[in-house]
Amino acid sequence: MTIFLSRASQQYAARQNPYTVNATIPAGLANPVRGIKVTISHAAGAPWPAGPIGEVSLTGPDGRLQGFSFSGGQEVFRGVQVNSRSCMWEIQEGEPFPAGAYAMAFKVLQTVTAAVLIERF
Amino acid sequence: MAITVPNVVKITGSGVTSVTTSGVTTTTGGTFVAWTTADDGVTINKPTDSKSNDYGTAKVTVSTGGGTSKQTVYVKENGAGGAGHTLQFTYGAATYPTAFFIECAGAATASYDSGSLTSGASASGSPFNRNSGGQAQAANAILTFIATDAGGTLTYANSGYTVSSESDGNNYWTGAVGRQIVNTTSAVTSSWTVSASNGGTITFAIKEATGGGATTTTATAAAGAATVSGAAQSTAAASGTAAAGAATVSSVGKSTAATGGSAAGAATVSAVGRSTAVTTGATAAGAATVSAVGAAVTGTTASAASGAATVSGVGAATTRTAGQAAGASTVSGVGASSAVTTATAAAGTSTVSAISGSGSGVTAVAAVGVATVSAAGAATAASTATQAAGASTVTAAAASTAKATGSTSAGAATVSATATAIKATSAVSAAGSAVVSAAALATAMVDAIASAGAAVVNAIGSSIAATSGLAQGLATVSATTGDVSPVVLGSLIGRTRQAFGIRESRQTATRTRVQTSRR
Repeated sequence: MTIFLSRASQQYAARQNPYTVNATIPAGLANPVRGIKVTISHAAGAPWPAGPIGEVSLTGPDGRLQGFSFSGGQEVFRGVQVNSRSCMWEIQEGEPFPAGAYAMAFKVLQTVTAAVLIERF
Repeated sequence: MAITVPNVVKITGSGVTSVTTSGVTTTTGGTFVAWTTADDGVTINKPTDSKSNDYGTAKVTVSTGGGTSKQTVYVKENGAGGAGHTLQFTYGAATYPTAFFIECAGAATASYDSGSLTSGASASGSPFNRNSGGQAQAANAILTFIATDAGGTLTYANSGYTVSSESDGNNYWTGAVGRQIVNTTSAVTSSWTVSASNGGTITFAIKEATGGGATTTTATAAAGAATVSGAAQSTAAASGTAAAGAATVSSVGKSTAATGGSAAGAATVSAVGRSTAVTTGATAAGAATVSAVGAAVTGTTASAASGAATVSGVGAATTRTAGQAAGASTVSGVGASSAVTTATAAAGTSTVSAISGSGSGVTAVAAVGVATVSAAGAATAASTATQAAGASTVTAAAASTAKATGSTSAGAATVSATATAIKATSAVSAAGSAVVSAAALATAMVDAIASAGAAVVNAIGSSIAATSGLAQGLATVSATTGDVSPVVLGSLIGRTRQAFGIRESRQTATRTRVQTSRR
């Protein structure tokens, strides 16, 4: 696992146009990218408001789109308070993501304070 | 086209209300399977397909048994495919899913075999068994799923299946999918192992398109070399044929019908993962070799009209494993042969060695030369080395529950170090020596018979029924520690008898009867 982008908590205003992050996966990597994970988190004890919060999409060099969406409120998993939302994409098991330009778009539906972490596997 | 499973795309989410898989290139006409886990109380909606395929209603939803999570599977037959094919799973509330988008290519237009579907939950822990319900036709892809509610890092395994899984139980409702290409209408075993108490399982078949079984992967050369290599899955036949030269089939992942190489020169089949029907290397002259076969369910054969025929490294041959040649015929390193393991040579050397388990027969036969069965771990029926002339030997059979026999019309016939021979352990030689030695337990009969020459039975731990050495020449039974009943006999027909370990009252009568009949 390698951290591709880590952005500290800040406020993101709700808006029509998504926030975007662009990156390139170089060709010929010795350790190819086989998974991409995005984690968006709020501070403990400061959950987002209820209802849909955001939509995240990742577009690859071939135009293929993958994504996820999430809502607010305080999440609990296995009895443990969860202060983040995340999604991890893989292609066919073991195959790498193709080299080229990638664009990650964050559509914010309600104004929230959040931190963003993008990891590659 | 034979059925294959070219795409298994995974996505996981934590606290999400929808996830969309990475785009892959699929083939129109394929069957697409959508599977996901979610919290038990969260609605799993019909998935949305980027190629506008309608998945209808869920085939089945199964709880993991702990009341915490569940899994659902949808199937779209004869779907539209293409580049950038994605699937979006949506949920009624935030959840922690593992999801798979699976493509079965080469599937029938109506491919979902509802009769094969089995599903259910268990709180009994690993293994989680969920065999298929039997298939409507033989050629299928079997898909088997499991979901558990266990935390920690999980390792899912299912023997015979290619498994894709999610291991992170701390962040997701994990699960796994296993797929296997089969050629049977019988129920297919699915036994999941994972460190979990609660688990739900689903198994069903996707039918191969009609005519798919007739598809062959073939390389043919009138002269020269014919090669088939790297065939991941050949559901019909993978064969290399050369009228002259070399024919080679290598690295075949799964061959559900026949895998063969035939040539006038060398014919080789190697590194076959699973061959459910016949794996054959045949050649009119030269060497025929089948090696490193993972599992040959029906027959694994290397035959050569002259030269060497070799089968080696066979993991499991449930019916027949044979090497047949006019020269040297060898079967070695066979893990488990539940029916027949045979090395046959019309002339020369015939050898079966290092067999861990043979369910029916282990046989080495040579018309002339040496016939040997050695290190047979467990032969539940017969371990036999037979030849017309020369040496015939069965050695180190750990457990031979039926019969361990070494016989030869001339030369030496030997059975040695048989740990347990429940029925008969015998060495027979028409001329020469017949020896049975170091049989720890022979519950029925231990015989060494030589019509001329020496017949010897020695160092037998316990012989519950009869232990005898019969010979025209020298007949010896020695060091028999415990003969429970009736007969311990060293019968002298021609010359000398000596060295009985134990004699009982009934022995004399038997000997007398034999001698009387000879007069």
